[in-house]
Amino acid sequence: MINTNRSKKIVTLFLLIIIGFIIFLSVMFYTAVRDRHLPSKYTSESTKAQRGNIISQDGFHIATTRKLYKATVNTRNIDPNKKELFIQLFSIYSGVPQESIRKKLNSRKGTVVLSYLIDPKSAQYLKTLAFELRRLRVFVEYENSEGRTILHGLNIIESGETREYPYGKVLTPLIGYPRKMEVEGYTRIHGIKGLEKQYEEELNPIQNGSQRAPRDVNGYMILNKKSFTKREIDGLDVKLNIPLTLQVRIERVLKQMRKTLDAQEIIAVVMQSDSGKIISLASSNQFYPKAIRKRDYPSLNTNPIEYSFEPGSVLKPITLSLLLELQRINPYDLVFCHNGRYKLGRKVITDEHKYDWLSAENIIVHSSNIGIAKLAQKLKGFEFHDGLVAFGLTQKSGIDLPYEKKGSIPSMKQLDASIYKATAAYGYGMRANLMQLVKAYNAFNNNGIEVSPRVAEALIDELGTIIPIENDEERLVISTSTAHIMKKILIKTVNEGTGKKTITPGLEIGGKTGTAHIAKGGRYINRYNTSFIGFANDEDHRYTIGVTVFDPKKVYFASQTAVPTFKKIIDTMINEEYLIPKKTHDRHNNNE
Amino acid sequence: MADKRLFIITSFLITIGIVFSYSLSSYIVLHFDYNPYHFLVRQSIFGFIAIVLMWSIAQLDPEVWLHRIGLTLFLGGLGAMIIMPFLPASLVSEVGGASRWIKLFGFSLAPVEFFKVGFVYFLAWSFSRKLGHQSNMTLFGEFKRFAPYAFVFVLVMFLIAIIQKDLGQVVVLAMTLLFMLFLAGSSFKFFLVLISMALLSFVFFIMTAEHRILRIRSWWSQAQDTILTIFPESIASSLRVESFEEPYQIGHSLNAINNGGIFGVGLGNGTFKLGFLSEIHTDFVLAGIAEEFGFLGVILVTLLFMWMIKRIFTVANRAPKSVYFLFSIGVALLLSFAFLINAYGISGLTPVKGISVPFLSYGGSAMLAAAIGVGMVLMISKTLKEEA
Repeated sequence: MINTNRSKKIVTLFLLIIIGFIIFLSVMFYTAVRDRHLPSKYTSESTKAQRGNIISQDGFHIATTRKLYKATVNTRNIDPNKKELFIQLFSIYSGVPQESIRKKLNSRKGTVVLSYLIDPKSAQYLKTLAFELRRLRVFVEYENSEGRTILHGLNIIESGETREYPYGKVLTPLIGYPRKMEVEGYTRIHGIKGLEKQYEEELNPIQNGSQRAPRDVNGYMILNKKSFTKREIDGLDVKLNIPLTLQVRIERVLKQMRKTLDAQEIIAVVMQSDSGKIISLASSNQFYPKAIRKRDYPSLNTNPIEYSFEPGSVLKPITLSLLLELQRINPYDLVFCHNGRYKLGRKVITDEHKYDWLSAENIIVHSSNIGIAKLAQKLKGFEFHDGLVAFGLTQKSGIDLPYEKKGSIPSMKQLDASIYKATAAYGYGMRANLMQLVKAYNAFNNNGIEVSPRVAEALIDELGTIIPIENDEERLVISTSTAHIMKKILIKTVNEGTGKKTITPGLEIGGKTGTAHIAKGGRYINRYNTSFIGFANDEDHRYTIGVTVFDPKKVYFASQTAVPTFKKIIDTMINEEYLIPKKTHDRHNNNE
Repeated sequence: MADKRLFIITSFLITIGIVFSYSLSSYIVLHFDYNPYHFLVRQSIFGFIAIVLMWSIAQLDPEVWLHRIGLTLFLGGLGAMIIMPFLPASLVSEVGGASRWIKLFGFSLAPVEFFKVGFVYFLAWSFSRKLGHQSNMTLFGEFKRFAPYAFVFVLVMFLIAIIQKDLGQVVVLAMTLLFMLFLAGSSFKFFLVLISMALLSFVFFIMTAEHRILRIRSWWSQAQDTILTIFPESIASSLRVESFEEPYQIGHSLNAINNGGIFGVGLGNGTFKLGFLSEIHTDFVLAGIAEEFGFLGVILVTLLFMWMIKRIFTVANRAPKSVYFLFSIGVALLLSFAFLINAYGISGLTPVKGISVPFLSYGGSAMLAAAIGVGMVLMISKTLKEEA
């Protein structure tokens, strides 16, 4: 009796318990399958890729990018009792003075930015601090107006990037300058001028990094097979042909000469004759790209390509080479030079020094306007025009810099007129930039072959892979034999004519001076631009070099302005071992 | 011959507990800078000892040893709980103002876990001697007979609820006491009266403190979604209260269960063990299982547990002596209530009570005590009458 009773009770009890279990399982099933708003199981993070660097040929980082971070905190989340602790720790980790942090925290309630200018290293430290502060329970929840409790800690966020120029003014204006632009709260750098502009696309960051991974309660990522990482790829580095060491010294020369001559600006280009590699492109007038002031504005342009001027006598060798190429004359043909005064139509052409008869060669050596004007009459208008164009006038030099000024020459038709032939023959009534002239002269020192000037040598990607920058095809401008004759004439010009000051024992140096009036308001005024364009070679190296001095106020003869500057550049190149004079072989001894 | 199946099922549950002590503690070991195997190694040792202990106890003769072990646990547990408030701090671990553990030879023991088994034995032993169905007994007579137990229970309640601040254990013990009383031969009337009194005092207990009302309200605000789905809309709307913010732990427990769905995210792949549920390896182990093995995993674990309970009930049903019968029932009730209170807590049906799941939750004392309890049932199972 008791046993059956017991069994009944047990079965009842067991059934009750089973019902309990079934309720549990039903609820579990319902919870498992119903829609429920889950907190995000993943967290993602993005890192912005950076703009590439500009690196000199000798490995100096001329322009680099530094990331900036900002630190924000919600003042309502800071436990009032631990505020001082927060201020002290933040100050130690960030280097921001305590007083400034306290001021910012007291400035308003809510989210405040403690600093915008945190460098990457401090940002790393501050992220560690953010974790520690959480552990120290410095942050407390607060309730917002909608009744939600909010708990945020210290946030360290990428705020942008800043362009750094560790060597200051060096390589300006060539390097150009950037501008900041804010996109979605992130400051980006964009090139506005110079190399920064030219290589904008290559320097620009290629791919921002991002990471998505399962997270823990604090939002820390768990990297496992479910996580996804996209690496950030920074912009390419641009490696220049220009070595910093040489550039700095040439810049120094130009600055010093500008002071001595009281000139407005002196610019210079040094190019490897065979390859077109620009190893220096400098101006006496520079600026600091991080802090451009109003008085820097005139210096912002890269005048070797952005300023075109009347070339003057430096054009004479080009005129002569066209005549030689067309075999209208030979170098030893004699020309009567009218003793320094020659009337062509209504215009009178004069020479600085009076000559009666000069060989074609000596017309260059002694820079006779009358001689070259008379010779140029042997060219037809289109021949002269096309010849100048073939030498690169009115054409972009092809250099890898933006905003090049192409200049101008008289039209074919104008050049049919003898007066235009005459003035164009000695470089008046036209405009060219220094780079165009250097490129044209380069043919004389390079067997008649034209090369395109190049500032950048290569692009370098993140893995260090060097991507060479393709150079334009080389082109024969004049025959090799004409080039050789011209080269000899230019050497003679240095040795016997206007370029004597550049004579350097052991080196082969040639070149031509030019002086031109500055035109202002449509009239020539009594101010001048002077140039010296030529070359300097040793056994193994050949360089084409151009110097222009704008508006020297002390003296205006090229031989006292551009020529000594050219000589100083050669001396600098010797010091830096870009040119090595032959010691045993002395030119003067050889000539005797 | 002891009940082999009961032994195997229990051991299997212990094994599942060991696996989850490793998987679910993966964040906690990082957070506290522990060795990655910290919990695994300890739970494995506890599990091994528990199985060996269970097997060894099963070998003993119930005539002699059931009484000795049972009374030792009862008196030892009671004594330990009484002296605990007077022990030096170096011997007592205090967590959140509640002293629940005695530190002994590098281990922390929770006396209440062992006491529960002892308490069940004490009740079985004295009920079997004094109680019995007497149809002529008045309700008052039953009360008089019950008074000594009530006194013991109130003392125990004082020790556990006030000093150890462990209300959940009191609920388990109270329910076990009630049902054992019923099975031992009290009248149904008496049983109902006691249940009503328990409910009333429970309501009184809640109403006397505002924070308890608030807790209940906040519990109801999120439990209502589940519970009211079975009521018709007219009733449901009158019972609905404005939504409170889900309690943090329950919210993430439900997230874990929902995230696991039917099939689970796979062992080791859980998200909500990663710091969201700080007690996942102990009180929220079922939520952890639900996330990683899904609803199917929960069914498996629950069925195993029910099978274990069923085996114990079978032993109880066939036990030759009243004390054996009552003790076995008591152990089954202890295990069932612990499981259910925990299960209802983590699924949001009732407020969370800090009761661990027998054999599955991490923790040595609860596992060893439960293993001793099952071991004693196994010992009893040897005396069963052959099936007729």
